[in-house]
Amino acid sequence: MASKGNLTLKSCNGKEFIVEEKVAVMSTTIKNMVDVDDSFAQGVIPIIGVDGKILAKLIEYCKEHAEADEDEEVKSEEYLKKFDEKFVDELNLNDLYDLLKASNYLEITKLLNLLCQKVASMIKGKKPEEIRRIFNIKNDFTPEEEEEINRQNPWAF
Amino acid sequence: MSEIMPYDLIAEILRRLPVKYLLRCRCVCKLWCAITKERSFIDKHRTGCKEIFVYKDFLCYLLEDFTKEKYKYITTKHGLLLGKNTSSDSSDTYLIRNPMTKQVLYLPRPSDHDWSDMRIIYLRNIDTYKLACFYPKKGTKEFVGGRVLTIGTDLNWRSLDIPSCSKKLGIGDIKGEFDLMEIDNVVFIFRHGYCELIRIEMESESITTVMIPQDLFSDWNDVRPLPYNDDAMFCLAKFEDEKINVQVLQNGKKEKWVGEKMDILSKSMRKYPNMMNLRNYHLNEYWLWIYANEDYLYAYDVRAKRRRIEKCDLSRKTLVYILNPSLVHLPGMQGKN
Repeated sequence: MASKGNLTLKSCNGKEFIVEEKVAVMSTTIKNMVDVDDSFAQGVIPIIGVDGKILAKLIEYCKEHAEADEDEEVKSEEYLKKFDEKFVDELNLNDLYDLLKASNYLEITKLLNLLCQKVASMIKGKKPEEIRRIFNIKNDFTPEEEEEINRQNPWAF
Repeated sequence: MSEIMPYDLIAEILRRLPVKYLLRCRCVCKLWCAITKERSFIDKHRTGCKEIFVYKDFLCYLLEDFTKEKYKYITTKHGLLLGKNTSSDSSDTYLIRNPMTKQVLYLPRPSDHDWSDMRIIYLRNIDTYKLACFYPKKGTKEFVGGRVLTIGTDLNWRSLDIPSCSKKLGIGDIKGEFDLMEIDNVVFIFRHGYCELIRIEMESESITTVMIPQDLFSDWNDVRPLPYNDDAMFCLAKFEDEKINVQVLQNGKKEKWVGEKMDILSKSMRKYPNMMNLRNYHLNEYWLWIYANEDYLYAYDVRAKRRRIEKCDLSRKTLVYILNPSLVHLPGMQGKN
C-alpha cells in the first residue's frame, strides 16, 4: 500500500507503480477519481487499457512536469522544452499511438497536446500516399473519387 | 491509424494542420475527409489558428489579393473575405473569397448605391450564411435601407423593411453615419446621433427598434458598438479615463441598459495615447484590435477577457483586415487559379 501522499497505479497487465499524488493528478481523470472517492487515495487505482510500458512512460512525463510546476528554478521552461522534444522523438509509432490514446483517456492535457502536435508535424508537407504509408491507412476511395477531390483543390498537392 | 485511433483523437491531430495540408488530408481516406468537412471541426480548427494580418502599402490604394483582380475589402467572417471587384470594365462585381482554400463565390450587385456596408452572418441553427447590405441615402451618409441574400438559396437580393429613425439624441454629433455590429445571428445598426437602435434577427429577418436613453453617455462623440462577453450581448462603448465605459443592452424583452467599466488596457499600454479611442478598431473572432503605435497592435478578447500584443510595422503600410485561416466553404463556391 502506498504511504500518505503517494498513490498506487496498476496497469492492465498487472504492473504496479507507486507515484506521488502531485504526479498522478496531472491526469484529470485520476484527479477526479481521488477527489470523489477517498478509497482510491488509499487503495490501488486500476488504469484500464494501459499496459505497464506505456504507464511507465506516462509517469516519466508527468513526473518531470509536476516537478517543474512546483519549482521553476530547478526545471526551467527551456529544460522542459528539451525534455518534451526528446520524449516524443524517442517514441516509435506504436508507442506514440498508445500514448495518445492513454493520455486522451487519462486527460493529461499537456501531453495530449504534445503528442497531437508531433503526429501533425509528421503529416505536414507529405503527400496523401506518403501519409497512408506512414500511418498504415487503407485508401478506400475509388480512383474516380480521388480524382474528384484532387480536382477541387489542385494547387494544394 | 484510422482503425485503431478514436475519431475525436484524429480530429484533435488534424485540427493542428494548416488549411493547405488539410485539403490534402481529405484525399487520405473517407474518414479523414468526413472529419475535415464537419462543421464542428471547421470551427475548432479556425479558432485555433493564428490570425493573418493583411496590410496594404500606402503606395497602392487598392488591394491585390491572391489574384490579379483588384478589389476593395468590405468585411470578413469565419476566414471569408467579402469584397467589391473594381478591376472589371463593366459594373462592379461582388465576391466572397476564402483566401486559404482559394475558392470564390460571385454575388449579384446588392443595390445601385455607390457605397454600402455589408456583413456576413452565420445562422448556426440552420448552418446557413446570409449576407446583409446597408446603404445611405444617395449623396449623403444618412442610413436609409438594407437588403438581404441567403447564400446558396437566393439569386437576388431582397429588401428589408427597416423603419426609418427620427428621434435625435440631441447631444453630440448628428451626422447620421451608421455603424454595423453583428453578434451571432443579430445585426445591430447604430446611427450616430439617433435614439433608435435597429435590431435585425437574421434568421427570421424580424426587425425591432430599441430606444437608447439620452443619458447613457454625457458625450456621444466616438461612441462605438461592440459585442459584450460570452452571452453575445450588444453594448455601446467609449473610452473614458483609460477604461472603456460600456453600456450593455440586456437580453430579454424589457429594454434595459447596464453600465460597466471594461478595463482592457494593461498598465504598460496606458502610455500610448492612440489607444484611448475606439475610432478605428478591428474585430475578429471576439478579439478587439486597437493600434498602439506604429510598431504594436493591441488585442483584447471581449469574451475571455484576455490581452495580447502583436508586433507590426505600420509606418509604411496600413492594416486592412485580420482573419483566421479557415476551411469554410459556401454553397456555390468554386476554385480559381
